[in-house]
Amino acid sequence: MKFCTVKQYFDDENNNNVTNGIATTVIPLPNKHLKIKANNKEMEQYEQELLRNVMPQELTKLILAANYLNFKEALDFFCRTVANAIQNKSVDYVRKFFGLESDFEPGEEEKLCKEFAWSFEGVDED
Amino acid sequence: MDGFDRIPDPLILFIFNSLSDVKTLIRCRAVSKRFNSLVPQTESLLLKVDCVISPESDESDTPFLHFFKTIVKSVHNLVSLSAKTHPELQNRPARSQNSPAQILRGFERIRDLVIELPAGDLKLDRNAVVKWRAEFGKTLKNCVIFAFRDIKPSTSTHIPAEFADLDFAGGLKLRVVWTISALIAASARHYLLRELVEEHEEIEKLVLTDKEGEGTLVMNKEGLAELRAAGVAQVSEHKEWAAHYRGWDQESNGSRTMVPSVRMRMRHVAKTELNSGGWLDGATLVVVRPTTIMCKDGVAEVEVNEEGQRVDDVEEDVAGDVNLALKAFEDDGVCGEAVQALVKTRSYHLEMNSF
Repeated sequence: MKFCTVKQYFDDENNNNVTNGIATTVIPLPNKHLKIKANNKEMEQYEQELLRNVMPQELTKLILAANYLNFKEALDFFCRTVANAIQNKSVDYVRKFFGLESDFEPGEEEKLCKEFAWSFEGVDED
Repeated sequence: MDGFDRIPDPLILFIFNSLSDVKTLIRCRAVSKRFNSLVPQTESLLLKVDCVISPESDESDTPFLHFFKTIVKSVHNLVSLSAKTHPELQNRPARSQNSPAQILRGFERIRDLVIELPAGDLKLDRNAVVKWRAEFGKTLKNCVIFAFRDIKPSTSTHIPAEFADLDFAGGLKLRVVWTISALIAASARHYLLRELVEEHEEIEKLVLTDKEGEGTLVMNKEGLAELRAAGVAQVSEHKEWAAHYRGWDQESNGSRTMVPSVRMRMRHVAKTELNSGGWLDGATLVVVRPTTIMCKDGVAEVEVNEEGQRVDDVEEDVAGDVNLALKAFEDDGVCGEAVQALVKTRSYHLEMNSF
């Protein structure tokens, strides 16, 4: 049921979306998920571990893999993890986390900061 | 540029919807052009209103007496309750105050919105607790209120003397005061939402709650449509929101939606024992519903049967009330437990005119 895409994946010969490394992380997830479902605290610990061990790059691949495999629970989980990680963090932190660079024109970013001054108060320390 | 650039827009939106926190999301707009265009499409939002209070705000000790005299003429000898200040609110410096409507203007596709005020509104006596859960459309649809005077650890099963002295009438006054306070607080909060609801026709569910969990106001799709259809005034509510940030005062002439004529089913128990071992003093449960039913074309009607007499289908009413009450507090440990006990007790029927 969850793994109709997996069958397709194995059938596909030329597949760039999911490397082996990622597959080994994502596929054991449903078992782990079932075990952890009852215990939220364990889930939090697992989340923390995941964040520490997995660089944003890896997390990208995990999310893409989960999406490709149509694995809703894993996708949910990874996206929530990302959301929790960037909750109340500064713009720079978010940029570093996502590995993005600002593509704004020189004045644009300041304009945004000014317009939404309220949202820049009380930010967590990086 | 690799990394998250490879993630398609819908997935980024999924992350934003999981995040929900408006402050962080707005900040994310400054990350890149792509984020700037995606953030406004987030559908599920949580807006935590910052606690802002100016140093010179006055929390004076005026009793409720004046206020209630103008509102409820039928209740005599009102209990005077001293205003309880919110110490934690008073120490923060004044900061920019924005109304939620202004903050949310950037979002175009809000479906699910939760707004969290920094604190509750009611100022109560000592250890009293009042909690309410209300549903609104254009006006009040229903409200469940749960309150108690005190929560005591179970050192003894002896009911203290002062409680035994509390005669029925005195107890009733206090309960009515609680009920009216909760209804006023709910109506004042409802009043704040008009501008927001008008501006965002796409909202399907709106919840206005507070950090202390005192009051929760819910408007679902139908209720929101009703409010919009009523075409209410576009008055800017910036200062009204500001009043709620500072520590809303029932005595200020703050505006609020009118509370319709209501009937209330009240249950109360002198002493409610809890599973944890403690007990609640004077636990009270009130379910409030309007007596007039608004038809779709805006005409008020009272349910009548064939003979033209008012329908008062008591049994169905009671069951409906019980379900409402249980549902309202099912997530709340102590209150949920007490409500479950209270719904089994006898209820008293009260009616009140609109105010």
